[in-house]
Amino acid sequence: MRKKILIIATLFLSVLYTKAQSSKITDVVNFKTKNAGAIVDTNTNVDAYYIFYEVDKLKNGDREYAIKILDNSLNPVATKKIIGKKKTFLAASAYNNKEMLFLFINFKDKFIRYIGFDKKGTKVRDTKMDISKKELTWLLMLQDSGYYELLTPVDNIGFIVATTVKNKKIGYKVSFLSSTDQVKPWTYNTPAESKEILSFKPIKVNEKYIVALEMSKKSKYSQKSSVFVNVFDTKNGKILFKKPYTKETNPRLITNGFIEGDNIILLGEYFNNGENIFSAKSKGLFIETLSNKGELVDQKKIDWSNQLFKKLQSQNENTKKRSYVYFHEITKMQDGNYYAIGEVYRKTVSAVGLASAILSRGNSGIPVSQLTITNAVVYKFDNNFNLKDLQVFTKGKSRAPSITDFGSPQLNAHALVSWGAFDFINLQTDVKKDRFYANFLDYERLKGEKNKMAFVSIVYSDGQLSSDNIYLNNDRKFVSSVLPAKVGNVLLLEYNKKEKIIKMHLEKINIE
Amino acid sequence: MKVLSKKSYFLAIVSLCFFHFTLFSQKNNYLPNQVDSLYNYLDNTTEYQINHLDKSFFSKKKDIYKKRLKNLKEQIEDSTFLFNPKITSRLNQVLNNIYKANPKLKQYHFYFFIDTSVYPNAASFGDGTFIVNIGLFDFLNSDDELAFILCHEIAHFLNDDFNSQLNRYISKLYSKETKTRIKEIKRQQYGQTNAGLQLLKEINYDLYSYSKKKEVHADLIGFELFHNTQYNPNASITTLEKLGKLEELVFNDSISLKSAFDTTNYHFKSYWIEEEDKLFDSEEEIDDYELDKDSLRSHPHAKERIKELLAKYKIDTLNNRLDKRTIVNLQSLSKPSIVRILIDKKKYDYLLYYLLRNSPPDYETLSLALELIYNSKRNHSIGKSVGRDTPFSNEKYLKQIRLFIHNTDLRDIKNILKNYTLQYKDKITDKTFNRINNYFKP
Repeated sequence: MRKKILIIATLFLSVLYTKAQSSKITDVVNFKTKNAGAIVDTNTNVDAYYIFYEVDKLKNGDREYAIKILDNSLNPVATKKIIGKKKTFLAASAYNNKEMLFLFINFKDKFIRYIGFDKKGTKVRDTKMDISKKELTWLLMLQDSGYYELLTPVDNIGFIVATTVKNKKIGYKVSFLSSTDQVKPWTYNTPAESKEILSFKPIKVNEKYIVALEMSKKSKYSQKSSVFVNVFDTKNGKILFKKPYTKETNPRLITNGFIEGDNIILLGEYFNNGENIFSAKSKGLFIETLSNKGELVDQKKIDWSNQLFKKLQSQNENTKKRSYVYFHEITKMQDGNYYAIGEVYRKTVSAVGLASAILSRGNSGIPVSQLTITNAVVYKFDNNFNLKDLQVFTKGKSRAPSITDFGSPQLNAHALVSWGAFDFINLQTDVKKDRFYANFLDYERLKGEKNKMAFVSIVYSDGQLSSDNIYLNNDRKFVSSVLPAKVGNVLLLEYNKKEKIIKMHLEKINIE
Repeated sequence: MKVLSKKSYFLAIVSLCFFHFTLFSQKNNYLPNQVDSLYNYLDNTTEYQINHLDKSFFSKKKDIYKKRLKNLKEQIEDSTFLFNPKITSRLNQVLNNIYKANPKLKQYHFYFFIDTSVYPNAASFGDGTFIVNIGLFDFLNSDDELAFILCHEIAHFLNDDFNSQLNRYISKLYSKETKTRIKEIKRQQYGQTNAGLQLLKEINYDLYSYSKKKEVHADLIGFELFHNTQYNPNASITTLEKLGKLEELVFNDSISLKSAFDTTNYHFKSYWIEEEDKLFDSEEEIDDYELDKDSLRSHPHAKERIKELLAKYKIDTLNNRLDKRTIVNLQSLSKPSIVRILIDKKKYDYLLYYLLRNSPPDYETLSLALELIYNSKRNHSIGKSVGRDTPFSNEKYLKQIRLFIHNTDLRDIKNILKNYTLQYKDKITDKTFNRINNYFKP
């Protein structure tokens, strides 16, 4: 007789609870949620969820905060109390199998603070770092652009924290926070004399190497950027090599990286020399293998017009000539094959934009063009990056107004990706089971039925691709949505508008 | 409530008689045929309780009674209770033995609901209505043990525990002292929430401490009722010992998923029941705001309850002659109902647990259970009905079942279902075999 014990007690409790909620005690007992989110690993798999909230107002401008941590099955596992300054927000969180780290930013008092908890839930670090307002503003701006990563976990050994540093322009400082005695903490600073704005984004890390992209540009509004691949020794922070991919020499949009033994493999889209990666049309996909000294071991290019587009047309006869594929992710599976996940799009005329332009004699400010996003595609390449296969997965059309009527569709696509205009959500990889799940949110227009939102996952398992659709509740009484979850699962959320109740349930993505 | 007024009693008795009469002809297990009669009875008993409330905080207590009545009716409509004439009749046999041995109880007209919960539990509403969870029948070993629990619940009624706890709660929450404390807290510029939480904690601790005293008292009064019956007095001790074990584990009978679902053509895979790494190395939730668990117990530990009972009464604890034959009837009556409840409520984790406990297994129902799990996974709705395992649960076997349900891919379940029904074709009906076989036709 434990849980509902002789309902006398249970009823009583519920009565107490109900009444306590409506009594005046609630006037003094309330919590303000500041933010909530998922703690995601380097394979975009959810390790945990957190809710950060303010508990109490304390003297001297202090606040009592708490973080509630739920595991990836939504079980509450810990609630930790934190005393800090008011107007503190939780900017990033990560878990490396040994430690959970939370990174806080306070704009008013201008500091970054990180707090770590070990596997027993004991606080193992609490460090405050002063930072100027300018540095903070740049940090958040660069992070929003998608070219900066504030916090990256390195499995089992530590975390990489990258903060902006004011030098002649804006540089960065990489701090390695160690979670084990075997690796000592270290820091790396970009040169103080640098006159450029530099951003830092790790694309692959392990216990040996940190492969990071460094983007540099002269000014805030400059369209001209150079990309460098910086590879660090994880153990001591020494930069092993820095390889440039500039407009003049080797312009590339690097999207993925792999570490295989002591080789670094880079993937992405290539351009002709002299072309700007943010405005020109890419020529195709590339792969290159570098040694840990930065020497080119191998490289291969697959061009768009003769190979990738032809393959797309052969698989999907309706593909129009002006169609492109936006490649979201490329991943390598245990059989040595690479899979590139993309969405087909093309530039079309926007009826709303056109009507507005006519009515305003071209001064509406609304772009006349738009991007029409259609099917999902998965290109398969062998170990030597030869194009082997392509599978097209039919999706409903999505339309997104162009950012500008000028420039290539690809320029617009790049800009729209960061705005979430494409249907792609994420790619999750299950290393243990050698699977990947490419997830999309699709708006399906069905004949004779109400249009529906569907969560679509393209699954690679046992060398085969399949897809699974989950239709979201389209009843007007509900707001339905999907949230990231642990690999192979999706978190479905339904908000009942009338009853003001949120229901969440984890569902496994089906492989039949 | 001690004794109902004549008028109220007349109304209640008429309602009850009508209700019992119709109960035997009911078709729907989850609703009484004459729901109006039952509601009439519940309305009357609630009205009686309200009419006999003392004047202090009358409207607040009245609200609680009204809300409780509303909740109970909603629960009835939500199929929370089972209206099975055979089980009710069997339960009434034990109750009649208690009434016969304690004639003073005959003046009251009790009503026992059978809750569909598989968690072993019972409860008293304080107005003559009680709840017995169907899981209790499966948990107990004899009529003797069931009788002791029923006596304990009746003792709560006789002690008027609900009303005394209600009075304590209301007077505590709305006392001048509490109001002054709230005002003081509101005036605090800093630390309001923690001060409010402290106040709530004190009120909670006080109520739980009071509840524990009431439990011990109900054990003692309940034993006096129980002792008058022909049941073995030692069942009071064995029952409390069992409840003590329940504090740790409830669903912990050994089951083997591997031996059940490893078929010749589709072998069991160990990762189906593999646990994920824990986020924290802790046996329980880490909580900086944790309240003292012992202070939040509504019941004292079973050991303390046994000690209190043995201190007051001479009980031959070596007398283990429990009449197991009688409970067997109740268990055999309740088992099919439990399986049906679990199917209806889509509690497929508990369903597998109940089915796999039996030896030899019920191949027919196990095939059905696999089919239901397959369809629920296919529709992406299994997460609504089957919870994920919690990292802190010690119920190893139930945990394994949940892992099995959630770790298996749809194609795994499909293959298990296919091969299981093929392997045990001669042990399941042709109808079930053919229906399931349809899934695998190209």
